[in-house]
Amino acid sequence: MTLSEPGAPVLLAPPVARELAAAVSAALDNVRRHAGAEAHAWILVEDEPGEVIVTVRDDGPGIPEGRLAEAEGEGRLGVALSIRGRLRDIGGTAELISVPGQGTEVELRVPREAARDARGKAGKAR
Amino acid sequence: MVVDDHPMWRDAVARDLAEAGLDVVATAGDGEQAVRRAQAAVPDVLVLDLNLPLKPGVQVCKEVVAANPALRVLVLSASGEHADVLEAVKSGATGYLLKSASTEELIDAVRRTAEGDAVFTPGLAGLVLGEYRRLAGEPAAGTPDDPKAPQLTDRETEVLRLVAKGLSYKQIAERLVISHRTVQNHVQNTLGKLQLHNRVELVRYAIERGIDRADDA
Repeated sequence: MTLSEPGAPVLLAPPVARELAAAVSAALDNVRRHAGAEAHAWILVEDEPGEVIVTVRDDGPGIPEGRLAEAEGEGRLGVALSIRGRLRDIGGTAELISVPGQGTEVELRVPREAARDARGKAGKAR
Repeated sequence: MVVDDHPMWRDAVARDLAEAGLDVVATAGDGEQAVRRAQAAVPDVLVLDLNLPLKPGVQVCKEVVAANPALRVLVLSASGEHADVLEAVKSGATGYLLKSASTEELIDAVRRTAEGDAVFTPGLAGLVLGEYRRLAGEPAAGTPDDPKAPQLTDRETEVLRLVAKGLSYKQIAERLVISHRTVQNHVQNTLGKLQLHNRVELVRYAIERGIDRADDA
């Protein structure tokens, strides 16, 4: 596994950071399960002014076109749905990208605004 | 030329390069030796460890590139030296490889560095993206002769992100439907702009210091 990051701490409110970390773990579990033991995974962390983006990519066989929608229809996308749910809870989005021969990418985006809101809520809860 | 303070590692790298048909003109085990020998031996490529006794690798990189701008520097270092890697790249190194790389990767990287190609790891691409982001976030000084912070084009950002996500140049070329050479040019430009910005900043710093001194006198 290879981690690429901006070379400086990326600060997020604790509840947002926790959900994001859990989503990354779920994505890595997914790589282990579907891309095989020989697969390599890359994680890219980007700190943009408006959002934090974490991408998890593998070099597995990828998902054939149409297969994703099919699996979703059959309700067999447990992991993808749990990732999406986690991101939705913190105001973010999760996108699955698969290019034939180039593995699968899960792109997690958390807007800075949402991160601030969650921080505010966490503050009030205390 | 191979610079590393661990003799066994240094000799192994030099031997691997020689066996691949490359000409190892010198080796050095500390920073000062590296600067002196690079000036005497005039290598095409300097394979440089950053963690060196007597003079840090980053400083070695600055001095050898200043003395001979045609010299290409390939940084070969352990992971977790992010600030140093970025600093070395800004001061003229055009390649970065982790010490965990295979012999084949090393030989390929040295050949590509010699040809003038930028050798990126996904980790370096992430750092470079972060550096551009930081430069864009710095408050503008607003003077007319102030150099603007360098910016990536949308295409350059796209290419760097794909490098950072572990795609090969070939895969990137396929995905963006551009040539391998174009991918390489985009990657190289991202480094070139950072290095140019760094040189301009250094010159400006020197001028400011010079003017200060004149005022004092």
